[in-house]
Formats: sequence, structure tokens, C-alpha cells
Amino acid sequence: MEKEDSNIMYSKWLNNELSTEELNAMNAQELQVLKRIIDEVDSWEHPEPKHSYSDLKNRISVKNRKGKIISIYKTVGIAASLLIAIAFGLNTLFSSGLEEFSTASLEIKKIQFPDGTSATLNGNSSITFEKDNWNNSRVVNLNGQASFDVSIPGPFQVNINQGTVEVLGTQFDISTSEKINIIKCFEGKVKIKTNRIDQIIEKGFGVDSENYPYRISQTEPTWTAAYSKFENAKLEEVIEALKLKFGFQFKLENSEILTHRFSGQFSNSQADQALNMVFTPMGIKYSREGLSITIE
Amino acid sequence: MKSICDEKIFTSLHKSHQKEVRNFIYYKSGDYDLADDLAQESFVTIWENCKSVIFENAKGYLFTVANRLFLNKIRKDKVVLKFKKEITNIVNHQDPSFILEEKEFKSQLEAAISNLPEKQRVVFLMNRMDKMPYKDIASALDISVKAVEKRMGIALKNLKESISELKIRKI
Repeated sequence: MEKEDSNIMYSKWLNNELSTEELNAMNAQELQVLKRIIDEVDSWEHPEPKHSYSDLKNRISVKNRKGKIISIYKTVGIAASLLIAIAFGLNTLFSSGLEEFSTASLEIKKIQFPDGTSATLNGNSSITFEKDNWNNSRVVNLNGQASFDVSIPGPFQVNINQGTVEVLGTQFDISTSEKINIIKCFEGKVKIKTNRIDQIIEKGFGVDSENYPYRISQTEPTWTAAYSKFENAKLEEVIEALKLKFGFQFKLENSEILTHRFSGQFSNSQADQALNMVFTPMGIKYSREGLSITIE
Repeated sequence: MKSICDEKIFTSLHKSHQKEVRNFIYYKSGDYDLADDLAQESFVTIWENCKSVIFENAKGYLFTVANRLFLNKIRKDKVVLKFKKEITNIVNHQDPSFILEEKEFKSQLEAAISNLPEKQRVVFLMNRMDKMPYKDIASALDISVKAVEKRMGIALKNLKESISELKIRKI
């Protein structure tokens, strides 16, 4: 028997692939030695890997924060939101094609869609979209506030509360809640369709809470900067912005003040300072208990 | 089509191959710490490239990346492998050819495996310790099943010979 063949015989023997004749041709003593080697090695074990799957997820999300890649993992801003974040994580894990991204208070997250289009998500906001169907229909569902940068032309639609925003241009900002939709267009054009409006607005224009187009003074969203800025904005809009950023809930004794106008800015990181910057200049008294704000 | 970018798929990929990839590097390096870290790196790499790697190639890709990461480290000429071994008292006394004391046999075998050429050592341990069938090993290492059979055969022959030598010396 050729040497190479006899070696192959060993591996065949191991896999029980030898015929009776072949088996009989092998040296019985040799086989006993081999059997003992195999039995011994088969009983050996490895220690458990030192890295768990959650370690891996952390590794990946640390890279995200550096901006290297965008992933589905949540950047958890505060410890209190940890449980919620895990709940969302599981949701992402088990839902079929629907991708969801959401943020906690004070969190800002950049999202990259499959075609390179990106969105920046403000705090207490969420975006869902059908990833698998992305190439056929670029449709995003938005709750809260996000800025979009559409890199590739073609239909791009954002579903908002009771309406849609269709992209004809490239850079725009949407804030949507049960109460108000605020859309600002920084580049190109967008077509807005809600139960109250059906209109195309151009660069430098926005639609306010009453759905009237108006000229915006900003050239980019301010909620990603150190201060959120407002010019002659209705207090309702400012309150929505505070809700998104800090997760506040407001109790109003008099809803009339919502139509008051506010020009100024609030801190995007300090909750107490932000409240003070909005309400004190307007002569509005408020009290804070945790995340609950009562306005007199 | 299954996409590695799908977290569900990625999780199951990690679950089914983390140990295999880690152990693969251990067989080459004799260093669990290094093996754990390089396996981790391999999964980070495949995640970052999830769009360009098709699911069917994922396993081979992971092993390839792990191997490349390993080669970037300083290659050790000699590895010393240590495994968790159960110390059993059941020794076959019936056959006079098995005169080696159980404990000594274990450590001699461990040394013999460590001394195998890398290619044989890796294939042999993937098959025995990770219970990977030949065809799985072949696809992981991007070699033919025939090549796996050959490496296994030579590994078995070499191990058998070094154990037999010990036995003779002992007598």
C-alpha cells in the first residue's frame, strides 16, 4: 500500500468510511493506539470565550459613535433609558424587514439608509423604514424630529402625523407630533401634504405649526448645535422642541399662551437652563418636578 | 436573500461560529487571550463589511479574516497547547500495550499535538474538538475535502507514531 493512501485510511477509519476488508487490513494494535488518542482528545474542552455577544455589540457601537460606521445599535444617553433601549433592540432583532431607530432624551443619532441618504434624529424621536424594500420605495416613518440629507435624487417620502413630506430637493428638517408639524427646507424643494396643506416649499422656507409657509432665517437645524434657536416662533413649537430634547411633559393651566411668540434660544444640554431661557424672558412662571413641567 | 447586515442573521452567525473561529486561532497560537480578541475582531470586520459579504460565504470569510489578523501578529514557531482535561481513573489495564500512566499519556499527547505542523494540528483539532465535519472544515479553510482528509490522515499517523515511540521508550 502506498504511504499517502495509508494515511488517508486513518482519516477514513475515523469517519467510519472503511469497508470490512479495508478495516481488516489495518493493524489492530495501531488502531488501539489511535482509538485511545481520539477518545482522549474528544474529552478535552475549551474554556468559554471571554467576549460575549453584548461585548461585540458594544465594540461595534463604540465604533459608531466615532462615526466610522452606522449601525442599528442604540447610543444610550442616560442610564434610565437602558431598559427601553434593550426593549427596542429586541424589537429590531425579531421584526422582519422593518428597521427602527429611536433616541432617548438629549441623544442625537445619525442614521444611514441603504443608499447613502442620511438622517439625523433628535432626542425622543424614532424612525422606521422597510430596509428590504428600500431600493423600490424610499419611505420613512417619522415620530419627533429629524433632518434629512438626501444624496441620491428620486422619490423620497417621509410619513408624518396626518401627512407626508415628499422630497424634491436635498436637505430638510421635520418636526412632527400629534399636535404640530414643522418642516424646514434648507436645500432644494419639498412637497408637503397634510390634512391642512398641500404645497411645495423651496429652500429657505418652512411651514409652521399653522401650516403657513414662512421664510426661515436659519441655514441648518440648530437642535444639533449647542443651542436651539427660534425666531418669532409660536411657544407651541418651542415646547415641542423642549419635549423632544429633554423628554419633558408639560401641564398647562392656560393653553392660550401657546400662541405667544418666542425669539431666542435654549441650551441643548442643560434642562434647567433651557427652561429658564425660554419661560423667564416671556414672563411665564413654571415649576419642575423631574420631567414634569407645570406652567401657570 | 439572507443578509449579514440583518441583526438576526448576524447574531446567529456569531452564536454558531464564535467558538470555532476562536478555537481555530488558539490551535495556531496556543494563546486563548489572543484567540478571543482576534475572533472578536473578525466579527467586527464582517459586520462592517456586511453589505459586501454574501451569507453563504460568511463562515469562510470569518476564518480568512481571523487568519489574516493572526498572520499580522508575530508568528510563533512553537506553540504549546493546553486543554481542560478530565482526570479519570479508568485506565485500561487489560491491554499490556497501554502501560502509560493516564496522566502522563494526556500530557504527552498534548505535547504531540502541539508539535504537529500547523496545518495538520488545526484540521485535527477542528474535527475532534469543534466536532466540525470534513466538509465544514474544507469550506472554512477554503481547501478541498480531499486536502482535509489528507491532513487528518497524516496528523493521525504522526500522533500514533509519537505515542508509540513513547511506549517503546517506556518499556
